[in-house]
Amino acid sequence: MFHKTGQILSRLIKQWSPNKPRPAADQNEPLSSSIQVNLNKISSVFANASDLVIRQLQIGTREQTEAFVVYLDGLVEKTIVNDNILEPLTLELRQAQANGGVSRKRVLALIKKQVLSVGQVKEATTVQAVIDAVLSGETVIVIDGSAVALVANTRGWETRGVQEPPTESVVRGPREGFTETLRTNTALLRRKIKNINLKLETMKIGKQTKTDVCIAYLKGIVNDKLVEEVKRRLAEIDTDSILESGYIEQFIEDAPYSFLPTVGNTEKPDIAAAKLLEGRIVILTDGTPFALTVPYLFMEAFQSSEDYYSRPFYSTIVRWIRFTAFFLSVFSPAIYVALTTFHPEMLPPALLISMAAAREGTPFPAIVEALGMGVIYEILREAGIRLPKPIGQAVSIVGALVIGESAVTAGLIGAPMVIVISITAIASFVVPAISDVTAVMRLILTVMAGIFGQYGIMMAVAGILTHMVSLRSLGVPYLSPLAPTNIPDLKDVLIRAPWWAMSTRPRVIGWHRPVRQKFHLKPEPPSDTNRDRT
Amino acid sequence: MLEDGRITDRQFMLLIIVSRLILSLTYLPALNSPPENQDVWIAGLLSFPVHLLLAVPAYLLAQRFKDRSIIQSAELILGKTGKIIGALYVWFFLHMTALTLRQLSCYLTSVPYPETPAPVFIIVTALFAALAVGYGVETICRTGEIMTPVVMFSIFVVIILIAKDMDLKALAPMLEKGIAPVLHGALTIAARTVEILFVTMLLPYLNQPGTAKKAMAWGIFFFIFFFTIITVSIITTFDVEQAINRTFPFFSTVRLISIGEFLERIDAVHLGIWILGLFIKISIYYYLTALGAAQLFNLQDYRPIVLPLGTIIVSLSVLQAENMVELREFTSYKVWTWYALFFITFLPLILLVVAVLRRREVQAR
Repeated sequence: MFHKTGQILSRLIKQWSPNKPRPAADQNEPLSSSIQVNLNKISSVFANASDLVIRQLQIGTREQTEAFVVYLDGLVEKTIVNDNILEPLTLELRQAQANGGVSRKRVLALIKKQVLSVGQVKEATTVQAVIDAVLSGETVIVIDGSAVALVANTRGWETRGVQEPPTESVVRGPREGFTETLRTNTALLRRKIKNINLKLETMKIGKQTKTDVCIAYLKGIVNDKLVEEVKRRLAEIDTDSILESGYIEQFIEDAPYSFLPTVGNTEKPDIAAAKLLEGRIVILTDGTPFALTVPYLFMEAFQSSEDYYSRPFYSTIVRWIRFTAFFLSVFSPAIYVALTTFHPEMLPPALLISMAAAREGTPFPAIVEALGMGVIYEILREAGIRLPKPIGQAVSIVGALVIGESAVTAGLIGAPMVIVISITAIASFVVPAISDVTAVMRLILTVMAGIFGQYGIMMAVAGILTHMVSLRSLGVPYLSPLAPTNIPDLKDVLIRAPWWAMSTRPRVIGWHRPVRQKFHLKPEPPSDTNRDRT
Repeated sequence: MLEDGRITDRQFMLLIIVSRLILSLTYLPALNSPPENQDVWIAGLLSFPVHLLLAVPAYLLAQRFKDRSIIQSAELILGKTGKIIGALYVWFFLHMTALTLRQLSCYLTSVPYPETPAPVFIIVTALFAALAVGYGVETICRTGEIMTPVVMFSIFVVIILIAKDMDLKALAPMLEKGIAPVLHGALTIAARTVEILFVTMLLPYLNQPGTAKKAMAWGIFFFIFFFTIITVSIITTFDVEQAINRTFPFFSTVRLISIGEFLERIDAVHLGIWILGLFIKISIYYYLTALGAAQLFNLQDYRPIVLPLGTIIVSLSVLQAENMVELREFTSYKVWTWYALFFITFLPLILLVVAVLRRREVQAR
């Protein structure tokens, strides 16, 4: 039913949105062979751009040729432009001509092949290509008498270094995180996977921002249909701006009307590499350290990179701690409300008496307490995130003292409710990837518990469960490998099997080539020789 | 195609188990059916071959018309008259949905929510089930795939926890009234397995239709296994006389669990699991009603008629019985056995015979 509504809505939106053909770019014309025409065109396009640098030169000695070099200050590496472009153009070309003499016609080829000592030099034939190159930090050399411009890669700008990301910190494992620069991020991935099969396809998205977006996948492991589907979805994005990967996420996700995320994100190259190696696709976006991973399944939220670096026994326990924390953070307010409002007889008598005593004299029913405290907790959390750090402490003091202590002493809320909300809050931090999801689920469950008690909780669970089961991420069932059950895949969900036992990749995603490593890799002591001696 | 979902044989098996087993966790009408003594569990065991026997016509019919439901194949076999049989089946699934909804609300209003009017539970459950029906058969089966192991596990836990209160002497004397009432009991137990009809409706959606036979047999086997341990645990914790007189026998057993004055009140958890399991049962019958009706009237999509059918189901559910006594009267073995057998075995048998005589088979399409 919701699919239906969604279809109608999206159809309406499509009808409303003006789908006019874009005006043909007048810059799409080819470059002229007259340098003056080219100069005028480029400077008129870049009018009022104070960071544009146009350096006019005369190159050669016998036949002086007009030329100019154009780049955007701040986007280029100045030393490269000075030492490897301007200096050779002005000095070395002169020597070359002095030695043999070069005709005007051959000067372009000479510059490209012998003069410029820059790693990557391309040719541009249209004004638009020149503009795009300049905007992305490249240096363009235009020479009189030639309708072809040379584009030298001189990109280099102020960036943040590779640091430990604040969102996914680990005790054991690599600490480097993605940065805001796409090239750095792809390099970080390449350093993890030294394999020609690691494909990095780049496209530009955003009519205004022209953001570089890179699709990374491991050919041979990934399902090619998934790659095609991701490319199709990305190509369909027709928007002004992509400032963060979150924009892309909302354009390509499978279930836009669901509160559950069907696209994952990570800030760490080792996690991204692991996802690639499982047959997933990573989408890197220029300007943000957050890479998207698809397909994203619900159970990935309970997997941490550290699980795989530590030994399996404790990892398995920690994984179950996460499941427990998730259930606590989703269910505890609802169960508390249901117990106090509808089913006091379910509590052991001693607990019931102490809870009733604590709630004695509080003015609000349990459901109002639960919702109110939930809202106050969310306010405190949001305030703590946005405020500068020194003030943030003040917020937590106010929250802890005033709301935790004074409100109970004043008899406004019962002490058990404060405990319940605290458990909820702490537990939701254990599974940070889906803390927003738990908040929504908690709200649904608490409201249903307030109306119907235990029956309401169960109906809400049934509703949420059927909804989750119905979702897909790029065609992969969202709750797999739980439903549809895939028993071999449970080795990395319900437990964390030791590495020598993880012989197959997750079949749901990597069915293309499921075998990851040799079977029977279990380490064993050498057979007999040592035993005799001891 | 009305439904483009696909289900696996494991999902099919688990669906049969949960759908048949879940009501035994509260109502256990088998205790009030012949032989009406401590031999119920033997009747349960003996019902396995009876189940298989009753399932044969439905299975053969479904196999003969692999990509058609019984509603479509009835039309193919009998022409216009087939529509009447199709309508009968739609009615039966509708009635099953309404009945199950009523059984849910009856339990809820009699134990945990004595002051809430029954229609509240019927309407709310029907709405949530409608959501699941809208998502399609895949979603219902996958939800079942998650929940059924939980149901089975919870039964095991209950049996282990109650083991110290069991008195196996209560099972003696065996075959007190002879074998005939036990066989009669086996028939009544098998006649309650309406889930046999799943094969006639869901076979076209199995991704490996060849596995249906095995999945059905295993589903029935697991059901009988759990049914037997449930009845044994009830009879051995209470006396036979007490067990028969209880409205919710297994639930009373669960309430008895008390270990170290700490592990008590398991019934709350049990109730939660029971509601979820029953939700799956209601959803699948609701789904079959909607799908069947859409097939009957040759609709393009079954989703638009889900909510209209829901109003009929809710009204029927409220109206069909004045109170619990009437409901139990209808679901007792005297009435239910013949009502259900008509649909489970008799109609498929007639259709099968006519199909064989008229040499109707599915043309290779």
